[in-house]
Amino acid sequence: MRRQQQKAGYVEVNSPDMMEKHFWELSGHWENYGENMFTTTLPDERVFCCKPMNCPGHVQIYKHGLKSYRDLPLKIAEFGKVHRYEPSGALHGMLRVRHFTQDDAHIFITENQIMEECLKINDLMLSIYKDFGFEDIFIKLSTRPEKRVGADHLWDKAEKALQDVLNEVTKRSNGRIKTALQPGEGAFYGPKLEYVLKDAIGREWQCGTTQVDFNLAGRLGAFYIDENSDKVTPVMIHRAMFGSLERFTGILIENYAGHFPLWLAPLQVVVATITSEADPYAAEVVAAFKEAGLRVEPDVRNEKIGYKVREHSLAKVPVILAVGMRDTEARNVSVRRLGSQEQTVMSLDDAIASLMSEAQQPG
Amino acid sequence: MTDVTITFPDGKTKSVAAGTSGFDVAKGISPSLAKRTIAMQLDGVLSDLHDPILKDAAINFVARTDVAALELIRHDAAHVMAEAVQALWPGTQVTIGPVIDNGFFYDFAKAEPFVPEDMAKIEKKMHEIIGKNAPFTKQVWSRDKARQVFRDKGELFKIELVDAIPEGQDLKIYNQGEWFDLCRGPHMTSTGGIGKAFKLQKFAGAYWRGDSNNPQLQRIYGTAFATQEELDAYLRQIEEAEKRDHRKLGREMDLFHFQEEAPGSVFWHPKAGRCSRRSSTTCAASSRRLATSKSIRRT
Repeated sequence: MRRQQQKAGYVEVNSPDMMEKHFWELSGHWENYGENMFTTTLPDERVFCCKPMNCPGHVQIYKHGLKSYRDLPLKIAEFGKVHRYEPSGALHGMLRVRHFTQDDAHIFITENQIMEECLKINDLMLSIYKDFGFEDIFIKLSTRPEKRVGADHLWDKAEKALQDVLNEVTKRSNGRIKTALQPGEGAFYGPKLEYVLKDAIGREWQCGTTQVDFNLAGRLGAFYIDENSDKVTPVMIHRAMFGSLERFTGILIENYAGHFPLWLAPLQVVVATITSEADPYAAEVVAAFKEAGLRVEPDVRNEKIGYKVREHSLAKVPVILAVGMRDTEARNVSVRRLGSQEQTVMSLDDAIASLMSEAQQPG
Repeated sequence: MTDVTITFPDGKTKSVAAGTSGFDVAKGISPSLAKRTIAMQLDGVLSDLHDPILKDAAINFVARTDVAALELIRHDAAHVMAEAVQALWPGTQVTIGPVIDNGFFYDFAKAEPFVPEDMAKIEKKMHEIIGKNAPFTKQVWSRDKARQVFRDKGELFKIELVDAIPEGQDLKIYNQGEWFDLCRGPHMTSTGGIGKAFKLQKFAGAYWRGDSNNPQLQRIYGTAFATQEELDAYLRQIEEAEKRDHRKLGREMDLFHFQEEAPGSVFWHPKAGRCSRRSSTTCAASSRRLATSKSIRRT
């Protein structure tokens, strides 16, 4: 996975989970986001904060070593666990948690690269959402909130840039992608585009964001050397596609009602024996599917096959293979798909070939 | 009297005497417009149609089928629900009844708990009240009068609400027929605007001002829409959403759990670990695919 992300031009990093409070004061988080932060006092009485966002950590990595305009865009990615206090009444399953994994990235660019990079991110997001079955997308532009950092002329510039991106995205989609304006809903350091997905029953979920930030890099002393050998503050794009892996998992479960496509199903195949005499053959079948790269488990309990099928259906396993004595001799399996009463008998090799091709990941 | 300029959505303007109500402006245009308008927006702010227009403003007349009316339909329904509950169970105290995402609720202080059959009774009473189509009318009261009236009625929570309104802010009372409530507004012109497409959904417990040291109240949740079709579609969606609840499915599929010691924190089970790895791998695979297609396009 790391190798693949590198190919897209991202470098993957890991930044500290806790940093000293004064660092968050410098970044503006303490003042603007402090009430949502977890803090702890260490035995030496220094106060540390759990990161509510990965950005300041990524800026430190950017600052390590002198950067030139030729190094930009520099794309720093992290599947970073962030910690945000939410009142207990607001918590809701996976959809609203206090600790979650962000598929976070910060892209350091020059002002001229904003449009190109935001469009690249847009294409990437739309293509990923499509892989997960979401094609009805709606994008909202959130502008400056009351509580914010940075001069108004920078906000003007950032909001204008995102409005241009939004116009371009709408134009390219031939009006298929709908947009809206949310005044005052931006992050404290910059405006953002929010990607809202419509699920199978018409509910809307906000997932991805692209934020253009003229403030944070400067506040934390990041710069690059431009063509004229001058020090210039880079623009930062903050982007997350799923937003939170926890929340996205919850959304996926609800979107598919647990009936995941085969490639996405946590457990793809259960091999259930009809009689204990078929146990050795079941072990062979499991091994063969494992070898083929499928996620498979045996069920050789001394239970009736009907009971086993019911139980695995409740657990939404997409494929149940029943094997008995006759199958052992013929080297067959009886394939039963989730949600169907039908059973198809086929040879083990055919079953593996057909399920392998179905389980191919999109992309 | 001075004049003010109002600007209509089509850009046309009109000069009227300051203090003219939105209703009079609508009536001046056509009686049918006045009839179908249930509220107005002044410079984008939703207001009572009978409010006087005191300064230059952009005006937009709101019909009950407009998106902007939905909030009013729900808010008015909350008031009517409160009236219905007090009519059915005299002595019940009313507290607050706001509009929330997808509906509304009202919190009551009532000695006996509601029972499931009460829901149909309250709905029936609400239909009766809405059928009378009593106008919503607004009065501004002094603090003293409000305290006196609510004390006489035994509405002790309302007195606390009166005390919490900052000085200098008008204390508004909305009447719907005989029944009245302390409220910021705005409301539609009359209760008939609520229509028939509403549904009470559930009873729940709540604490006064959300604090567990305070008295316990009984909350009724409901929702309302402009049309029966929209209400039906929404109720179907909720029913479907309950079947798909990821917390239930996550348990049945053995993907994750939560426990008291770590509120808002996920315990990922082994199977789900595989699932989330899938997501991140797909994400990375797509990045790669896109990067490849980009480089092809460039050449």
